[in-house]
Amino acid sequence: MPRSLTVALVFSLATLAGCAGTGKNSWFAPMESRSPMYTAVSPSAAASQEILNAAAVCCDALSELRFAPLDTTTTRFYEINAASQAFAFSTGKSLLQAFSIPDDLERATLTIDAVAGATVFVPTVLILDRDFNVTRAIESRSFKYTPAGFMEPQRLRGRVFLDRRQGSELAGEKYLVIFTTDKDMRGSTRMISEARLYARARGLADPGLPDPVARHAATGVFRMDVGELETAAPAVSRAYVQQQRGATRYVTPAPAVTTATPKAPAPVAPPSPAATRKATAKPTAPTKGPQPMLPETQRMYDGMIEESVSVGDMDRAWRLVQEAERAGSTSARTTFVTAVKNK
Amino acid sequence: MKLRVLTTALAASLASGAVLAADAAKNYIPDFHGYLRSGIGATGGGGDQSCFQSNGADTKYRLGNECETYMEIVLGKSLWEQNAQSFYVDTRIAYKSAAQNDWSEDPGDGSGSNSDAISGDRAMTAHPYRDSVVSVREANAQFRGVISGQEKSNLWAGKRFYQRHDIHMADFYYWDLSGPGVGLEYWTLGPGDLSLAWVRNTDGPWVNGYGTEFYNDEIVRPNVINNVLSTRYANLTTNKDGSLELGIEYGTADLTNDQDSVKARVLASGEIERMEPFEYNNGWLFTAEHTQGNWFGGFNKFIAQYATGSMAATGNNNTHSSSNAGADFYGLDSEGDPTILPALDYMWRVIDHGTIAIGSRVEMMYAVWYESKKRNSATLNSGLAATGSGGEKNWFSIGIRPQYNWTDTMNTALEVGYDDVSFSNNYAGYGLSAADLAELPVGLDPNVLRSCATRDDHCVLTKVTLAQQWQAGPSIWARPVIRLFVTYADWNQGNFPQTPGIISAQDTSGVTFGAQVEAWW
Repeated sequence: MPRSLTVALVFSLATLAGCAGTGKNSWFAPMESRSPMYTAVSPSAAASQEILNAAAVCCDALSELRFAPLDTTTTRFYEINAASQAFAFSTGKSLLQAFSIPDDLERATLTIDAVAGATVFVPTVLILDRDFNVTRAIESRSFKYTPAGFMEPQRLRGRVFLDRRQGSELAGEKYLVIFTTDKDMRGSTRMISEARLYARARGLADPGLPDPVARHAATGVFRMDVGELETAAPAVSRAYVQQQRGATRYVTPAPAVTTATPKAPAPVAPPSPAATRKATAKPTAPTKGPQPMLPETQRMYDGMIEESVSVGDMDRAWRLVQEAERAGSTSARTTFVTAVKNK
Repeated sequence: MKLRVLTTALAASLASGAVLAADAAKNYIPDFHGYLRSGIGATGGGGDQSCFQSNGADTKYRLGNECETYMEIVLGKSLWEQNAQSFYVDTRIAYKSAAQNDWSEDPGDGSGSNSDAISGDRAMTAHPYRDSVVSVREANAQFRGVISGQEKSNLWAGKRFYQRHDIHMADFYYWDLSGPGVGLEYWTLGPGDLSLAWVRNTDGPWVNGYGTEFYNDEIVRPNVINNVLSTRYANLTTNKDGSLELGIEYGTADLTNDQDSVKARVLASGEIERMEPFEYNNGWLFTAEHTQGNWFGGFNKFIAQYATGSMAATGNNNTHSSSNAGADFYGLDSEGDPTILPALDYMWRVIDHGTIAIGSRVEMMYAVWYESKKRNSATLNSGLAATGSGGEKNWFSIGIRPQYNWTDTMNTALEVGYDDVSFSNNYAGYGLSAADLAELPVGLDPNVLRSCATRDDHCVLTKVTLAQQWQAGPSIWARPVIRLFVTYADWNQGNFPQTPGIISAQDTSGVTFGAQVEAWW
C-alpha cells in the first residue's frame, strides 16, 4: 500500500505541475481575492472600472442622493458595486454609499475598514450638514493599511469622529458620503503577506516572497463600526480643524455659483470656513458675514484661547474659538491652530 | 499678577505632566507576538492520543499528530528610533507540556520534557503532574539600520532564532542556526544581502562516553562548546518573483587548554588510563535555496544542502556544530592513534515545498524531500565498533495538506504524509545480539519486536488526517484555528512509530482522534 500511495502522491503533484505548465495562470489567483469573504472585493481593478463606467450618475446635487439610515447597533459590511449610486464629484465620478446619522447619536467614533484583496476601495468620507453642505472631508490618506490577523482581513483602516452635542460646532452634521477619487483609483497598496506574518510570529527567516499588492478600485467592500468617541480632545480638535479646511473641494459648485461669483463683494478678510460653506450653499444670497469684531474683544478671545491651550484645556479652547467666530472673530481659529502647534 | 503666572505655569506643568505620563504608558506597551498549540486527543482502542513518527525520520506530518501543549510568548519593543535607525529588544519564552493534568509543573531538572517524547522509555516514566519545561529561547537586541541608508541592515547580539527556515506542515526546520550569538545581517552588498554570524551550541558531558568523570578526577570541563560561523548571501534576484539564497557554515569544537591536553586519567583503582577524549571535530554545511513567489497563488521553495562531519551529525536542524555528537565513536587516526571521529561522514538532502491555490476555495501545502546520511567508518578499537560501520540512512518523505473552504471561517483539511527510511550496513548500530533476543518475553515473536532500523530494513509510515477546522480567515496561514481531527496511520512491522505503550507493539496501524487549537499572532 505505501508504494502505491507514493505513486499516487507523486502523480498528483506531477498533475499539478502539469497544470502549471499549460500557462493558464489566470485559473489560479491569490486566495484573498477568491474566497467567499472577499467576493465583494473585485479580482481586477479593470473589471471594477468597467462597472464604474457603466454606472449612470444619479443626481446633480448631493441632496438628491438616497441616504440609508446609519446602523448604530451592529458592525456591518457595505458593498460598493454595480447597484450603488454614482455621483460626479469634482475629483471624478465615483460609486458611493450614503448614510444619514440618527439624531440620537451624539458622540461616536466610526471605524471604517476597507477590505483589501486583489483590489481595495480607497474611501474618502464627506460629512454633510442638514442642508447638505459639506462640513468636513476625511481624506483617503488617513486610511492606513493594517495587516491581517486574529479574524481581521487585510484592510485600510480609518476613523471618523462625530460630536453632535448641542452647542458643538459639529452639531449640525447629518449625512455621510463614502466614495473614492480618480486619483486614488490610480494607486495601489502594498500589503504584508500572511506567510510573512507567520514568519514574524515564529521567529523564522523572512520568507523572501514578494508582498501582495492591492490595486485601488472603483468597487469593493468596507465594514463600519459605530463606537464610543475617544476622548483624546486635542487630537480630535486638531482633526476637525484639518478636516474642515478645504472640505468643499470634493464637490463642484452648482453652475449658479460661477455666475454669481463676480457679483459677490471681494472679501476684506479671509473668509472663515463657515462663511465659505454658506457661500457655496446659498450662492445667490448676499454674503452677509457677521459684523466685524472690536480689536480689543478679538485680542481678549485670542488671549483666552492661548491660555486654555497652554493649560491643556482643549475643550474650553475649542468652545472659545466657536464663540469668538460666532461673534465675528477672524483670528480665533488661526490663534488656536498656532497655539496647538506651539504647545 | 505674578501669582497668576505662577498658577498658570503650575497648571501647565501638571497638565503636560499628565499628558507625558499617558504618552509614556502608551509608548511602553510592547509588541506582543506568540505561538501556541494545545488540545485533547485519544487513541482508538483506548488511552491517550498516540503520535506517529517513523523510526529514522526526524520529523512527522503534524496535522492531528501533535500530542503536546507548546507555547511561545514573544515580547519585543523598539526602544529608540531616529533617522530610520532603531533599537529593538526581543524576547521569547517557550513552554512545553504533555498536558496530562490541569497542574503541569516544571520539575526544574529538564525531566519535564520526557513526557512528550515520542519514543523510548522516558515517556512512560515521566511524572504526570511534572510534565512541563520552560525555556528562554530568545533574548536579544537588534540595531536596525546600522549601516546608514540600509534600513534592513541589522546588528544583533544575544539569544536568537537566527534566520530559521522551516516546512510548516512537517515541523521540519531544515536550516536553523539558533542559539546565543552575534551577527550583522542583511547588509546589501552587490546584488544581494550578506549576513554574517557567530552562533554557539554546547554538547553535554555524554559526548565522549565518560560523563562527568573527567571533571571529578581531573577538573577538566566535560562540556564541549561548538562554534558555528555562518555566511549567507540572500535575495539574489534570479527571475521574476524568484530569488536565491546561498549559505556556507563552518562548525568546530573549541576545546579548553585542559580538554586539549588531557591524555590520561586516574581510575578509582589507581591505574592510569591513557586516552584522548576530546577532539576538534568540525564540519561544513552548504545550502542553496531558491524561492519562487507568485507561484499559482502561493510560493515554492527548492533547497539543496550538503554537510560534512559534525555539521551533519545531529538531528536534521544543523543547530549544533556537534563536533562530538552523542553517537561519535572511537577509531584510529591515520597514524594509528586512537581518536574520536564525528559520527557522520556526510549528509545531503534535496527539498521542495510550498503552497498553491487551486480554484477559488482550495489552498494546499505540499512538501517532498530526500535525505541521505552516511556514517564514518574506521578501524575500530572499542566496544562502540558498530557506530563506525559506514552505514547509510536514506529518508524519502512526501506530503500534502489541501484545505477546502466552505466559508471564510470553516474548512475541511486533509493531510497525507508518507515517510520511507531505509537503513543499510548497520547504520543504527545497535543490533540485538542473539543473547538479547533470547531475553525477550516469552510468547512474542522476536522479529515482531525487532526494529526495522536494526534489521537494515525500510521503516515506512503513512499517515492520513481528516480535520474539520474553524479558522480565522480563509488563508491556509490564517490563525487561530480550532480543529476536530481523525488520524489513521499505517506502518510496517518493527517500525514502532507511536508514543510507546499506547498501541500494542504488534500492531501495524492505529487511529487517533481529538481536537487541537493552533494560533500565532
